[in-house]
Amino acid sequence: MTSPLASLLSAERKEKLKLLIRDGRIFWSKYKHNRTGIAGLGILVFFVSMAFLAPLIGQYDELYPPNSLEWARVNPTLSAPSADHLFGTDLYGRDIFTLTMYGARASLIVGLMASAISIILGTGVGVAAGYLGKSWDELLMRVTDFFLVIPWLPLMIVFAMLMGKSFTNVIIVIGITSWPWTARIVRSQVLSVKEKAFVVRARCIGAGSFTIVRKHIMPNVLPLVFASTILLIANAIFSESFLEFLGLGGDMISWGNMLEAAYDGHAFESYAWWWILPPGLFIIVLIMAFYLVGEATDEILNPKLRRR
Amino acid sequence: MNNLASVWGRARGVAIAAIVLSFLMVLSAVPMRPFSDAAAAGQTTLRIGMMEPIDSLNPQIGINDNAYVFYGLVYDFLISVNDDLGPKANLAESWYRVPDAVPYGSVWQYNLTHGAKWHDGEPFTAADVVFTVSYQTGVNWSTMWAYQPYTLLIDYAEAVDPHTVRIHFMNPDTGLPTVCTFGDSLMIPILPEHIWKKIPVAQGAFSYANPDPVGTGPFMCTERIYDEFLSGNRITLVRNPDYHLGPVKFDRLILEFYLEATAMVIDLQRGAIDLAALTAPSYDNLLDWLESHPSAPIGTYAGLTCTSYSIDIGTCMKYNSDPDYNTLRMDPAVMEAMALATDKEFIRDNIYMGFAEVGYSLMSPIYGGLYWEPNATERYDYSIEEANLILDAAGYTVDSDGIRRCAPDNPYKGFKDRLELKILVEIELPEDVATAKFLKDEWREIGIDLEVDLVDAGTWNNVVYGGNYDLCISYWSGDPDPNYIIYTQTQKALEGWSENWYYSEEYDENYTKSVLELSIASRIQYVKNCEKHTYEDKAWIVTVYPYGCYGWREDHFTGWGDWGLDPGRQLANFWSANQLFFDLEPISTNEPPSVLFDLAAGVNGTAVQVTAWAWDPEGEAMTYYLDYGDGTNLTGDIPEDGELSLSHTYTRATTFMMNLTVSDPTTGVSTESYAVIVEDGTNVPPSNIRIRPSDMSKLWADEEMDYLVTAKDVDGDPLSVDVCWDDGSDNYSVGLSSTSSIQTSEVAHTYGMGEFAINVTVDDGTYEVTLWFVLSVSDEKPAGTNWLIIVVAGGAVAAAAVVGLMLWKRRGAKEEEDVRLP
Amino acid sequence: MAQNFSRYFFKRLLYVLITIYFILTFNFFLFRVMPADVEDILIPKGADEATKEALREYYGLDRSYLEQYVDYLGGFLHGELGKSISVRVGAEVTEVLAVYVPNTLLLVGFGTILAVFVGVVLGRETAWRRGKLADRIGSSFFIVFYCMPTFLFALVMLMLVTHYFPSWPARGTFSDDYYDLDLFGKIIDRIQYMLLPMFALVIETIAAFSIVTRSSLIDVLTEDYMVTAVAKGLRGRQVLRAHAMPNAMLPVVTTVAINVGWVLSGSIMIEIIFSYQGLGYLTWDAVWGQDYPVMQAVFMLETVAVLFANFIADMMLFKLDPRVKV
Repeated sequence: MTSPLASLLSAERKEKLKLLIRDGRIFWSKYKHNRTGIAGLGILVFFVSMAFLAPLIGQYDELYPPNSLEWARVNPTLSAPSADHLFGTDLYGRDIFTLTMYGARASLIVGLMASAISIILGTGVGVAAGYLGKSWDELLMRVTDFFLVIPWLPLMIVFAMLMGKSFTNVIIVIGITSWPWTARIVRSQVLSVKEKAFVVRARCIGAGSFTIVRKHIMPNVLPLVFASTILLIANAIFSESFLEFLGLGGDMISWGNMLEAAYDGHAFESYAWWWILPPGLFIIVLIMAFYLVGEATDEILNPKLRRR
Repeated sequence: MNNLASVWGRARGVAIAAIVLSFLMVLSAVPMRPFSDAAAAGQTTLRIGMMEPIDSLNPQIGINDNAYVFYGLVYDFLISVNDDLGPKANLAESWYRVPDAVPYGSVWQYNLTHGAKWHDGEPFTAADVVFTVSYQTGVNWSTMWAYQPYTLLIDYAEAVDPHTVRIHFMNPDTGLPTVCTFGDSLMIPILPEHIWKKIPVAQGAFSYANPDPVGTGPFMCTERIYDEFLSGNRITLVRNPDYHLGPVKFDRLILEFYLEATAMVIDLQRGAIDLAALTAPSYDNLLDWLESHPSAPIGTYAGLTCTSYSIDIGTCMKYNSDPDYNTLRMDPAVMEAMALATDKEFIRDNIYMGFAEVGYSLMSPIYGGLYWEPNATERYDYSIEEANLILDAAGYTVDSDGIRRCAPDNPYKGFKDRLELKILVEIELPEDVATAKFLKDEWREIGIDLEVDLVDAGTWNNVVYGGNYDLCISYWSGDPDPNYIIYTQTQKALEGWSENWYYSEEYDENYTKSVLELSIASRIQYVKNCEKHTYEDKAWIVTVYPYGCYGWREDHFTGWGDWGLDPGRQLANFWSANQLFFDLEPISTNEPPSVLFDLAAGVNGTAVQVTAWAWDPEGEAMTYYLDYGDGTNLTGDIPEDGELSLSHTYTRATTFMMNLTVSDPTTGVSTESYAVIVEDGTNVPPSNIRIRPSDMSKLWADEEMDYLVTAKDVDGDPLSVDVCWDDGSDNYSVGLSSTSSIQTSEVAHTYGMGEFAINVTVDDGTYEVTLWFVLSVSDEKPAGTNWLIIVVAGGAVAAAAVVGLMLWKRRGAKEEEDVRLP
Repeated sequence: MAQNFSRYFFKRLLYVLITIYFILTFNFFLFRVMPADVEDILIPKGADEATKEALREYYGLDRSYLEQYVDYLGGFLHGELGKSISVRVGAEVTEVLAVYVPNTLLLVGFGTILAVFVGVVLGRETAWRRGKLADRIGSSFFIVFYCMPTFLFALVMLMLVTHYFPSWPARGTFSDDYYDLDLFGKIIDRIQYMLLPMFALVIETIAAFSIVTRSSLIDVLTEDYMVTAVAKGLRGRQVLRAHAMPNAMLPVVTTVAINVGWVLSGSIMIEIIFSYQGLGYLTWDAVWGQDYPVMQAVFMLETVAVLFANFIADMMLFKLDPRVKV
């Protein structure tokens, strides 16, 4: 009757932890050499710190919230970058530098949460389809294909209309329209692992399905999923910018929202480039960063690519 | 493998061919497409740019503003609206209250115009009016919603004879005849009976597409109207030549629908449209642009619209049982606090960018004498402090999060006891969205948590007309007679036109009196009372009256008028036969020909060569009338190259004054010259002296041009010609040899921009003749040339890319030996 | 082989038809779940009960869901897709579609062809020069354009074009005098208005195809049989053309099919920005106006298009890839 803490730190678990750390170290030593991967990672660190430090670095949030239209009372409207306003002000006098800093939060939150939903759904379906095989596989794959075939943007627009326009709904909508992709990848990986020797041996010994999945299949599938996750995050941020630009997002400050406000506020006609450039550029850079990191991770973890 | 390779090869070949072909076509075609020629195809066209395509061709269905403009162009009303918003005769030439009707004013007679015809040729008669009325009244009244504020009071119409109709008005509650004060302002389009009688009422009101609109209006649809309507791009209307008030002065009217205000501004700037209905921000951009282009021929107007356009915050005055909504909104203290906390000036300056006026009454100042404005004591001025005081006094305490909570015994308390309200806003109206967000921030300071609910137009309509909301942002516009607007706040309008479900007995009393009152002064008083009640009861908080912003081309049409002084000329006047369209006259852009009529000289009794050169900027065919000065004349066509050379024999030795008139299909130009006739044996002076550019259409500043200098000496003397260019450059001198025919010398010269008096002196040894030629050189290259450069540049880049790629390939091929396998 | 193929063909066709059926059903229920009632959309200022009854009957809404469903399926087979209720009130949906669909077909069709060829060529050239400067620059461009949200590129391009080339048509589907032009003129006109949107739409697809071609070609180039081929003495470009490309192209075929779906979605943004009246624009209008007959039809069209693209891709793959088993 060992205490819970002791059982948590059981020798088996400790061993597993050590292996995990060792794997992590190996991963990192390989990753270090991938220049684009490092660049991507650096950019991510930059954005994450931007998101955290926004309240400190952002200007003028004592009077009104950064998004308030009342800034027009005190700030010049639609003014070019200056000493007071590093990125200038928008149509309602809001400081664009501050807004851009805060916008990083929305993008990161969407990326993480939407992909979390997608991963959970996708992995669930993928593992079930791959492992259970035959008719289950057929059925689940048909359903997956079905969702893949529906054009995502119109579907998202309809969902947004149905569920209302808010930030959480954007996250949900992206999550539930991107799981098929994950499901497919997971399924094919599960299929290839299923026939591997150690799994067959496990079955011979008589281990239950659930144990097999947990102990043998998941550890081999998860690394691949991890790489896909990062790419999924890039995709989520991409989709989020679309939805918000179309006006389907909520009130939370995000780069997509800023671009939407710029479009409605005729920034493009007034050539107010300072309103467009920061959010636009940052979206691209953030997506690229995730993409590069994802590609680098994929190269390292993907057994097929490892040969090179 | 082979399959794919060969498929690939073939497909690639086809695709390359397709792309190259397309590219070539664009290359060859681009310079040929003029964008801004309004007189293309020989027709004069007025192009109007508007946002938002019309939503239906059926006048009973369409509700967006542009749809109404369309109806006003194609259909007529009995009585239209003139420049200062008073009644103007249209299908009804004259009208009056029938004297022996009981009560007086309950029957109006309209004497209809004779000779008006429907666009399909059928004659317009009183039967059409009777039909239009009966189609929308009686049992049909509740279905035919579009013109209910008017048809509410109509009992029936009768045709006294084919050109006279009487309309009987009644009290809708009692069915008894009643006075109607706005019989001269019935804004109902008159429909053709022979077409509409076949459409069942329910369909006519809700689903009939009306693919072939036939009206009596000044403009007719083309056979493409339904396709155009479906595509939502533009609508082409043609002039009705038989319009009963006289046709308009141009051939076509095209409504261009833009999804983007910027595109409209750009098209206005380059002349692709003649009139643009702009949004405030794009109007602002236009004004900025005009500041840096002061010579641009664009007129602008921003001012109160003739439709009394207003933006309003509405409070739902109906108790709804949905727990999502908060009945505290109806607490007079809350309503007053909300009104006091609305900073209308901020909204006007920052959201409407100054292109609006602060609002009070539901009717805007455009109503002139009917407009009511609160005085200093009646007005609720923006004051957050006062709002807070009022809420404090009404027992609202402030919670820790800053939101107020009502007193436990507050009679308006429903499901919620905190001031949490929702405001419903149409997401497509960015100014409304901005206003709502602004109020959300502001009202936090008085303890109201305002949730902004953004919905599409359809949902907005459902919710508002269903009465299931707290607050909404809406807009109103009205007809010249105030009845329409003030009707919407009456009890009859509940379940119908009322959006805020407001009801007040005093209001209804005043409304009824305003409808029945015969004395104009008294009626004004009742209308103003209505306005006052609306303002004081705060069920509508009118924030601003946004300006209508327009820009137009003054070099395409004249007759625009002053839209501030004469609001009835605004495009927004959709009450048919807008005077603007009848005053607009296209400015002919046709330029007259240029003519150089040469000096002629010769010997008495022999054939004298009379020459001239004519050129038309549009390249139109020209004719001439030449008066030789000796009593004879000649007419004919100018040859294609513009060189006119005629032979004439004079019978006296003197100097004759000749007159040449050259005409293109639009205008004619006259020039004079002389024929110097001498006696046989006397020296003939040099003649037929001329200098001109070899190609007028390619003449512009800083470009080299070849000039043709011609002269002739009948005697065959050698001539010495001297040309002074008048731009400071050296003279050009040449000697012409001795023949008796016209000689030409070609010289190249480059001019800067400006006007130059070219001096040509010809000396034949005996006489020295000096002539002056005035040449005007501009620096405006036509757009076509730019295109040539861009396209050529594009082609060059493409070619370079292809070559580069091929070289690249070659380089790759060189390394055939070391195949680079990773 | 032929017999296998026809078995495969029909099996896949069956799946496609079943999927279409499910999509139809999904469509039907999706739009019945919309928060608004048909009548309320149609009746802006209130109407009485009698009229609502008449309308319900007219639109067939007074019947049970099952009856409506059967009607819906039947109508679909007959080509009757109902009437628009807010985009173009009263007009047949087929009429409305007939105006918008060709525009998108042109845009997407030409665009995809262009994208495929340019993308594949670029991918091939950068893969062949893997590691060299050309590859590095090329790949960077691909990544940037792949990660760039479509609307951003479109907006920036629009801004630049309207500023520097004010006379180039930057918005709309065709010009004023379109109907007065002859056939040739019409074609030129259309192409002019189509160039910008197509370019914006396609830039991302080109990047995507380049990336896919490049990586799949690199994969192929590392295969053992490639090294064998070289060892046998085959020359560089020949190897590329005859052996590497055909195998590398297989994933590209799949990507093209998937891309059709993407491009249809992306076209919504492009068409809105350039005011180009195509299917994407209609989708947007219809969704906002809650015009569910039009929405249903548009959804159908788009999903069926993607389905068939996938179907054709599958057929091609079967024919071309000996490794695919039935």
